[in-house]
Amino acid sequence: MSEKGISIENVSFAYENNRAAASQGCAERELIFDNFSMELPASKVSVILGPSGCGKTTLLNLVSGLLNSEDGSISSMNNDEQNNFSVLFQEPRLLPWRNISRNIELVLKKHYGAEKARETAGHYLKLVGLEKFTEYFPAQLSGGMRQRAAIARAFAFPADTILMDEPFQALDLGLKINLTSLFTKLWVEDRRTSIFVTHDINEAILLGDEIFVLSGQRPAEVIEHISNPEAHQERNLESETSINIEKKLYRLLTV
Amino acid sequence: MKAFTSKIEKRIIGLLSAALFIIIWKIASIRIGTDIILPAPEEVLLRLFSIMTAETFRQAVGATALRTLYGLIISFVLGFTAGIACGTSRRADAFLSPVIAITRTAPVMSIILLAMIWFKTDLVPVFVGILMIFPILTANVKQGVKSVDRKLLELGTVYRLNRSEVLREITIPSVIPFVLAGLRSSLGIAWKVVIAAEVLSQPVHAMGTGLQFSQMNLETAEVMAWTVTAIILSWLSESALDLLIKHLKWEAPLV
Repeated sequence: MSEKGISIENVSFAYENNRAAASQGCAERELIFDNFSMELPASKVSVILGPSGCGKTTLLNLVSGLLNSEDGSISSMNNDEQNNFSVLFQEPRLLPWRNISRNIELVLKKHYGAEKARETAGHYLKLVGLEKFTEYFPAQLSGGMRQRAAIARAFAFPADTILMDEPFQALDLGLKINLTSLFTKLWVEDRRTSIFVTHDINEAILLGDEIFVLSGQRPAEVIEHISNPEAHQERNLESETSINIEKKLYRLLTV
Repeated sequence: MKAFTSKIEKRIIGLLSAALFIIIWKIASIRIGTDIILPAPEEVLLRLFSIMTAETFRQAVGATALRTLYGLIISFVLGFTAGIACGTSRRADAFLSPVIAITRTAPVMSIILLAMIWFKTDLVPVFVGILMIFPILTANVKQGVKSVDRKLLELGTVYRLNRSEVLREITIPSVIPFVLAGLRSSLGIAWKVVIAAEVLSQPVHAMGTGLQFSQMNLETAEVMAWTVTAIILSWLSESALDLLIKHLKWEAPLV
C-alpha cells in the first residue's frame, strides 16, 4: 500500500527545558542527536533497538512531529504530500469516557465520514478479536484487550506509516507473544511502512525486517544495521537465522 | 481499625454527637430560662411544624430554592465557559483574572448592598449568588483544563484531531469531575449567600424575609426553625448531588 519510506537527514535535537530533559533521563541542552541521519525503507518493519534512555522514543516523537528538531529534516521519500502517522504508544491511550468502537471512530471520522468510520472500526475490532466488546468501555476490559483495541485503531487509521513505541512492554510474556503475532497478521495484509521502537531483542527479531541498533551514549548513533531475510509468518526464535541475529544483537547491546 | 470506620458505626457516632448537642442546648435553655434568648429544642421543633403548615412557608422555600438553583445554573454556564477559556488561552486568562479576583475578594455585604440599588428585590439574591459561586467554578474548571492527561492530548495531535474535537472529546470530559466537585463545594455557599441576600433585600416570598420578620418580632424559636429548614434543604440538595456524582463515574485508570 505505502510506497514511502522515511528519510532522516542531519537532525540535531536537545531538550530545551530541564523538566522535559529530566523526564528522558538527560541533562538540559544535552544533544541527544547530533547531525543524525538514517533511511527507513518503505513497506518494511524497521526496528530501532537500543538500551533504555538512548533516544528511541525521542526519535519516534521527532518522526511523528510531537517534537521538532532544531535543524535537519525528516521527510517521506516522495515528498509530494505530508506524511501521516498512526502511533501505537506504550499504553493503550483510549478515552475512558468512550466505548472502544467510538474510540476508533473518533480518529477515522474525518477521513471516512461517520458511517464508514463505524464500519471500519467494526472490521478492525473483529480482526483483533474484540467484535463482542465493541460497546465496552476501556475500564471494563483487561490490559491486553485494551492494547488490542489500540492496535485496531492504529491499523484502521489511514496512515502511510505506523509508529510503535514499545507497545507490548507492559504486558506479560504470554500476551506479548499473542499480540506480536496479531501485529504480524495485520501487518502482512497491507505491509505498511512501520517503525518499531524496543529494547527487547526477541521482539526485534520477530518483527523487524531491518534492525537498527542505537548506541547507548549521547549523541545517539546507529552502530549496526541488520536485515532479517525471513518472511514474517515463518519467523520463530529457534531458527538458525534468528539465533545468529540474536547472538549479534546480544553482543552489541552488552558491550 | 477497619471495623471502626464501618458505615453503621459512623452513623451511630454521628447520632450520638447530635444527641449530645441537643442535650447541651436543652440544659443551656433551662439555665437561661428565657425563650427570647434561647428557646428549648422542642419549642423550636414545634415552631417548625407550625410554620411548615402555612402556605407562605411553601412559597418562601420554593422561591428561595429556585433562586439558589438559578444562581447555580447561571454560575455553571459562566464558570464553565470562563474556566475553559482561561485554561486553554493565556490571553483569556490574563483578561479574566482581574475580574475574577475582584469578585472573589469583594465583601459579600458590599455586593448585596450594590445589588439592592441596581436590581429588583427578587433578583438581588440570584445576582449575589452568581458573584459568589462563579469564581469558584471558574477556578475549578481552569484547574481541570490544566490537569488534562497530556498523553491523551498527544494522542489527539498524532491522530490529527482538530481543536474543536480535542475540546469536545478530550478536554471537556476530563473537566467534568472538576466541575462537579466545584458545584458540590459551592452548593452550601449558594444557600447561605442567597438567604443572606434575602434578609437584606426582602423579596415577598423568601426564607430570608421569614428569618428577618421573625427576628424583628423577637420570635427566637421561629428564627431557629427557619435556620433548621435551611440546614435540611442544604443537606438534601448536597445528598442529591452526591448521588448524581456517584452515578456519573466512568473514571478508570488509563493503563
